[in-house]
Amino acid sequence: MAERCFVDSLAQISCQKPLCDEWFDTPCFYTDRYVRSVEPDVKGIISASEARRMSRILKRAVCTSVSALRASSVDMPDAVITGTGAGCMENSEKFLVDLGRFGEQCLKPTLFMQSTHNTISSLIAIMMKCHGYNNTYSHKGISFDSALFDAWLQIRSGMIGNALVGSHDEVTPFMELVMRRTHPDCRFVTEASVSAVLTRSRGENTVCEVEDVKLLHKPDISALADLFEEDRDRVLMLGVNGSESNDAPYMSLLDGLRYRPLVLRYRNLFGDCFSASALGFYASCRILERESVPAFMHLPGAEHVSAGPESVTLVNHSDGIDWSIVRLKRVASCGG
Amino acid sequence: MAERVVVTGLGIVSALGAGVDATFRSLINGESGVGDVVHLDTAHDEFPVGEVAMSNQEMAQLLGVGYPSDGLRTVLLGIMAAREAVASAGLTADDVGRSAFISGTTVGGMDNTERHFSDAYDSGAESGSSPELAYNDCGCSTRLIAEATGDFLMMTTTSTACSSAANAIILGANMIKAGVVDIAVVGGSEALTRFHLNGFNTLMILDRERCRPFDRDRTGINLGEGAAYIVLESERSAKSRGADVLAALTGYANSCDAFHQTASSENGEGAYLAMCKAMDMAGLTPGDIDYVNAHGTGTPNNDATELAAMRRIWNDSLPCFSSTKAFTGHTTSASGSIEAVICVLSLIHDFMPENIGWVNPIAEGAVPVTGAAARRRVRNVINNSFGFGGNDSTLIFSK
Repeated sequence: MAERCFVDSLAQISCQKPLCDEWFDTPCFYTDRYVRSVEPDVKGIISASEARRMSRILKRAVCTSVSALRASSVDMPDAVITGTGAGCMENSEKFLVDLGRFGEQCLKPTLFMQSTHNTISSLIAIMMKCHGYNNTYSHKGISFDSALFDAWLQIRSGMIGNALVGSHDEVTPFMELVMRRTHPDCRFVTEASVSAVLTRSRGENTVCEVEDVKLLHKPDISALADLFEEDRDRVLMLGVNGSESNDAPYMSLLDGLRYRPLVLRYRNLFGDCFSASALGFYASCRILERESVPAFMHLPGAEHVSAGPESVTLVNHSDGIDWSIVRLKRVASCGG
Repeated sequence: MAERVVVTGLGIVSALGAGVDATFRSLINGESGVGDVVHLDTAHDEFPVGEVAMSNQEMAQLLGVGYPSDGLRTVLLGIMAAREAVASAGLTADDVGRSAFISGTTVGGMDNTERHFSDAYDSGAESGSSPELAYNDCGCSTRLIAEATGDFLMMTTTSTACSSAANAIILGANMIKAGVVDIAVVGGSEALTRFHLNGFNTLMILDRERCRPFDRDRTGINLGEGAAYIVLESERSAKSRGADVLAALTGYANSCDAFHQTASSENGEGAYLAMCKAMDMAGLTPGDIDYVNAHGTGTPNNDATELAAMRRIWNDSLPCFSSTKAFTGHTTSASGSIEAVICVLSLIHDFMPENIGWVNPIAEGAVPVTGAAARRRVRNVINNSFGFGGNDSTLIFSK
């Protein structure tokens, strides 16, 4: 893999103020355990008539995609690669409700047509008339990480020059109730939409470099320490959320390391959902770009990162089963 | 990036039966697996389907798996095919431990969701049915299939509707070429559900007779179900293991039609680009293609546009082509890998499956393979998979 892979632009919609970085200086902290995304102003991005036909997740995905592309040097991406753990839940749920209430008659085609996971990635391609590579990953809490892995692999291998990578999940009120029963390790349930433009070449606006993306299944956590030897000088960004069952695998990892790393978190701000790791990626990229770390991202009691870090290693697990390790590096120090 | 990617294992279950041998026999004998619905709990018995002829209970018993897999048909089908693929490639536990598992699905555990959703919804997630909703997302299906097959190094799930399995194959091939892994078990699994049977019915594209792909009077799809996985491997790894090489994956491409969520463009732009780019990668010209296993769903729209895309490449001298959907039904997310297995069988046995049910051409000269299993030398085959949203992918397998 001879090429390099850079982040050219990013955009987010979450429980923080959408399509901007106000969270960095004036974060919103919630006392509610379930908060939906703050809806963006779609004016200038989606026409009113188009917006009426789109579910929330589709509107958010289009808004982050268009915003990221506008902020980047790329007009037409070579690839559109999307992650979504649960897909278009709002439409799927409505179709299931109708199926339960009315039986197998008089169902609405639009709900079905916009219920598949790849509706999101396809809609972006249809709106842009983008005939490039188009793929969707749906693998629990590493859905974004899988989409990023695919884009990174193809850019590093020289198969594509750039990619629009995103991850989007919506959590309906009913899904939140189900998640409380089935995923007790979720603390603060939210929604997430993130889009990023990745490029092979470094440009004026380059945010940071994606050095490495690894996906692992049930790794031997004690053996992971070896994998992290090269991260001695790095800041680790972990998916800890304050729940013991969610945090235990991260703590085992830290216990096994032969050094004491500087550790950051993001879920206290951005919450939990299948696409949460995309917001961890987003926040890590911004930290590298801005060369500073907001105080609320430090773990309570942990040593603070003083200056802007040179590099961040993002560690994410889903149910302690599927893991991802993403290594990011500041561009000022990556030597051109 | 120069590493050649070869196929060293196959596993399949569909309406044609369980296993590669049963599948090959049915194809050679022209025996369709499409028939009346038996296992799916649906009011729509007017639509023929390509069901796997086993109940969940029978499959769970055969595979020796318990809760929650025993109630998840996509998982049961997947385990059956994945285990066959791993065994046929002769992978040891160590080999599996350094392999990737990439699986495509769209409905995942929707069959289980259907059984429990209304109860859970009406009770505000308070009923005992609610925890049943935890096992039904796409990623969960992949995890359960993989974990019942071996301890894989990593895994993920593609979900691009009817091209999901083809896109899983593409990711696996890219990983091998880049040297990330030497071996990848790739494919897809999808059970029939009320959700998508009714969904396709709302689009009015289900045929009440056995489907007739590429026939002038075709009226739609027969839905099917099944799973298939192939073992992809770097040629170097296959040689060092002394594994039998069944075929090579010489070309592939994914190109979005970018036209409509459920219809394809008139000139089949996405399909055209996918076939062209795949031939470029394989270093083949249109004349080198001996057989096209078409997506050929039997809908008026798909078959006309797929044919239009083929005409743009081959003009009036179309290669031999057929759709095997009248054998298996449209196995949606699994169709890419089910038909990949059929393509590899075509290369191994030098035959082309007939387009059963076909009577009249759509246009002059558009005549698919007819007559039981045309025997002829097959060197390079194209396998097309097109999904909703114009997610079009082409794979090329070669001797």
